[in-house]
Amino acid sequence: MIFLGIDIGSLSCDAVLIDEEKNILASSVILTGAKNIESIARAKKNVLDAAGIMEKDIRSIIATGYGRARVKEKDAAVTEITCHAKGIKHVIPETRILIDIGGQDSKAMLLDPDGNVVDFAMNDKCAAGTGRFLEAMARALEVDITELGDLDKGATSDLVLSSMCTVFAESEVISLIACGTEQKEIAKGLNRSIAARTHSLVKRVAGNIDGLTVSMSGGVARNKGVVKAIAQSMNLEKINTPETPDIIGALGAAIIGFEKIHR
Amino acid sequence: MSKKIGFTCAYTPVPLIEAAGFSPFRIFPESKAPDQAGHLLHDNLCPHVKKVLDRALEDDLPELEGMVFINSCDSMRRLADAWHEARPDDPIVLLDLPSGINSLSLDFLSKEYKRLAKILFKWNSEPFSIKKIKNEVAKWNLLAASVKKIEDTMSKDFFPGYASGLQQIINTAATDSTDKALLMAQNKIDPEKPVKDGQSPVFVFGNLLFDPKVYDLFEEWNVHVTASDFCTTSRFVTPVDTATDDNIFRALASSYMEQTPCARTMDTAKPGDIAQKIVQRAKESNARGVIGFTLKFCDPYLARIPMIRQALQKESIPFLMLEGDCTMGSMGQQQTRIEAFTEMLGV
Amino acid sequence: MMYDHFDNAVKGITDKLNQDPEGINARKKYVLELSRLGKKLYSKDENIAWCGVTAPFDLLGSMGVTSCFVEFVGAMLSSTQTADYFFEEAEDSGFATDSCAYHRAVMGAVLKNAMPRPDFIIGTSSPCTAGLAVMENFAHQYKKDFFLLNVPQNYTQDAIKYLSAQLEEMVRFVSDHTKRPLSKQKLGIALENFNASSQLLKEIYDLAKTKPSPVDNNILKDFGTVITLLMGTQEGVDICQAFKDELNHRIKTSFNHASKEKIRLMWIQNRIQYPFPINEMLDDLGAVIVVDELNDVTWEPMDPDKPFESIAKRMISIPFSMDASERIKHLQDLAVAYRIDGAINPCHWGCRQGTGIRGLISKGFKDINVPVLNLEIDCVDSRNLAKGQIETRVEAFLEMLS
Ligand SMILES: Nc1ncnc2c1ncn2[C@@H]1O[C@H](COP(=O)(O)OP(=O)(O)OP(=O)(O)O)[C@@H](O)[C@H]1O
Ligand code: SF4
Ligand SMILES: [Mg+2]
Repeated sequence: MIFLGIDIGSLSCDAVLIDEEKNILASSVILTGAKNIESIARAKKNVLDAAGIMEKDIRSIIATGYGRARVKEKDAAVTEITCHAKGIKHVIPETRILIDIGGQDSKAMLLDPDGNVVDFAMNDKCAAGTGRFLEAMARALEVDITELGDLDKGATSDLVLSSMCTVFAESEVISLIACGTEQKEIAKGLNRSIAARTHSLVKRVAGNIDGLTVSMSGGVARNKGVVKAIAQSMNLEKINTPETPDIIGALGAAIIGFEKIHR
Repeated sequence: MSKKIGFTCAYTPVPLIEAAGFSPFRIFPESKAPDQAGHLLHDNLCPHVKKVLDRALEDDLPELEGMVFINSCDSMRRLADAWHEARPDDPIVLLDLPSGINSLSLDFLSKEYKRLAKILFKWNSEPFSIKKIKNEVAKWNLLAASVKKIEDTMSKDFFPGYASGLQQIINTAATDSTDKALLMAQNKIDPEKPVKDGQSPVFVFGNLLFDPKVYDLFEEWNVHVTASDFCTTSRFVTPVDTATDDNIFRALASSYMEQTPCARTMDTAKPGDIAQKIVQRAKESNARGVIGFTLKFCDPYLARIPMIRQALQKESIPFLMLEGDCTMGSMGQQQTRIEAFTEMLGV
Repeated sequence: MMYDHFDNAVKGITDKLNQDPEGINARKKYVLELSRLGKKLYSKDENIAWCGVTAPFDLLGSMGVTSCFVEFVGAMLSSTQTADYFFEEAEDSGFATDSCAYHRAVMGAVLKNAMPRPDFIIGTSSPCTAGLAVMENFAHQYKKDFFLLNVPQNYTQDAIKYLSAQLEEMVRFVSDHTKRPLSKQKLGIALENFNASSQLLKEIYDLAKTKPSPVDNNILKDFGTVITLLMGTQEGVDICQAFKDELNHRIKTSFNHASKEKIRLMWIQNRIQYPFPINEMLDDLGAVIVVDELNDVTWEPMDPDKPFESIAKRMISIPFSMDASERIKHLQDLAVAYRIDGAINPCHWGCRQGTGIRGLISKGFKDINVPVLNLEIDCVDSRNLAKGQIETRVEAFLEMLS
């Protein structure tokens, strides 16, 4: 039996196929774009092709992400909060605090030792401190988003961006560039600001994080600079990141499908 | 057509309006009127107040014989201030509502309610009549009792559509007449058998949530509202305890101040009591979690959230805090939070 | 931490004053007295009451109670740039950033157990809902008895009676806690001092009206609100006298600032509390804040035979806490009396009471042809300050006026 999880995020549309042993058979990450129905179909086709499996072999489809209702063929829709928690439990089982920063939302979750969500917090409406914000900043710094994570290497100053609104921060970055501030210092400042936001989100779910393993999922977990800054802000030696952080939601969805059948 | 008196705050005793021969018209903050209130007042102001003012500025209101304002919080005061600009021809009465409960406050408020009653009768050129007031209060109490009965049913089991039905009854009392609402309440058929449909029992509280459709959405998102504390639900249909005080205004004053008051009112003998009340109601209604639904920029609630959070945490009751503008439009963005919350609570 | 801060301030200012025994140094004397009050509040042995802004400090002082409004702490934390830590604490506990930062700082300090422990709390329902809510938290967290003064908004006989009765009840409440009854004689002295201070304040403000004005952008900053903490004492009278002397002296010696006065401004509500070079900016451009909204005497002298009634009237009749129409009329009167060229409304973030009628205030000034600049700035929390933007706005406004 094969189980499919699809995570239709605001930015990326991810799909994961797992088998009876919860092994990942295939995964795909594509842009959600404006037409999410098409992206859903494409993501599904990608994983089916990659795993060499026929659609009829899929036992269950669980949809998650903000576009979860748009997946017509789903068996159930589950929020990305529950799915990310489920997914991380599979890959980093000792996780007790999970941070998921995606394109438009950042979330902090507190998990019990069995991996169940016991509390969560989400950013408010604005994009501050999310992936989209980082993309805007990358544009302002004229680098690719994938380069942003290493950009802060060797930075020494303790510059912090004061504006957290995307619009203001962009102009702040531009004026910093105009003043001749080095790219790496700006990048570090950016990461610090995001880290402060994220840290306060974590504080909302757990006042004391002593002894709790912290992991991070979502696309922004690929940004090493941000991950490091969050760890620093939280006074942690490290934050665990899965190899493919962006598919954790879809993976969790697939596992939930599996568990629904095997309960 | 009946003559209407507009009002905005749940501390307005509807029986006084009806006794004077008017229909109550609570101005709900629902309107397609463009946002102009921010310009006249300030953008960072309670969305309830701003939307109501937008309705006034756009003339999105029925004909009104007068307006009753209560200085319940700074934002409400600002609304009264701006009304003079927006609709200079409306007769206006502004009541001073004490912030704390004690015997001096109740005396003062009973005088204020009496002043309100006199003004209302005068506006309608009716002779002032305590008897009429008492009659209306008795009717109001019947309504409050029926509402209470429905709420009790709700807290025991999940019946789809029941919560939104209750909201329709209360809205009728707020914007039409107690008689009609009473009829609706009495005809509300007791559901046959409860439905087990994967809903998590949740107590909801906050400022105002008046659109019946909101409750349908809650159900769609797996919430079984076991009880609610909004100024558009139980706080609005305040029963008036006439047994302990023969002076009807004093009875109104103590009932409105003491019965599940809004965060703007405090019991000075028990600072922080609002948090305890929420815990208590959540437990009484067999809720497994609590959702707070407050208006952005609402000072009375903003400052009490930390204590409410603390008190619920102490009892290990999961709590989800949401902020919005109390309209259907702002509900969509809450879906993920609410669904994740119910997934977390389980059934 | 705060105790040391006040202690150092007292020492430092005393030294400076000793070096200049002949000088008037009104502002220094005033800050000295406030630092002494701060020290007392943070020392453990006084009868301490934390209060709302409009509490009757003269009456409380006459009963041997050291009292202060909590916003004072918010302002102190902001001006010493130590507030951020407390903001974060409050925000993490769920107190939204949409709130007034005076209160957010206090809330953080309450949660961090960093407020001096009061013996009891006296809340006031004016000027703002937010303030009262924070006082409730304070009482709740510290488990202290709470007395609330409901200040009605309408100035009516019933309202005055209601508030006077509450004041009498407050006296009983305080006596119960301090085990000291109210002494008529001490109250009489406090009210006398209050009246003397009020009279001097009027004279100070009249001097400030002179054109060119003897005031500079700093000397009367936030004076009206804070001086109420001292007005019932001899020290308060002396300080007011010093301010009067200083302004008179400046007029006589044709204080050099006056010659630079090109633009006369009014500042609405409170000033910016953290270090922000707005005064310097104004100085450079020849603009002087000749009047602050809250620097005014809006009450009749206290009648020692009817102390509670007089205090009640004084509390209800503060224009800032009344209907918009009253407040705007007061602003217009000030604008005319001080012959101002323009007004700055900081529109302090999160303040529903003061900023909530921004639009109506602008309209009120327009009616008397006085331009207003709405700054939209948080006067207490500097974390989101867009400095460049504010500077540009102020400069453009002044360019427009000159
Ligand atoms: N290689 C990379 N290096 C750095 N950052 C990356 C990389 N890949 C993705 N990101 C970041 O991840 C973000 C997208 O994350 P993700 O795919 O988890 O979002 P999403 O699930 O669509 O959004 P949401 O959960 O908010 O709806 C991008 O905005 C970008 O900032
Ligand atoms: S600034 Fe406004 S909200 Fe803050 S204390 Fe003053 S009146 Fe209250
Ligand atoms: Mg996502």
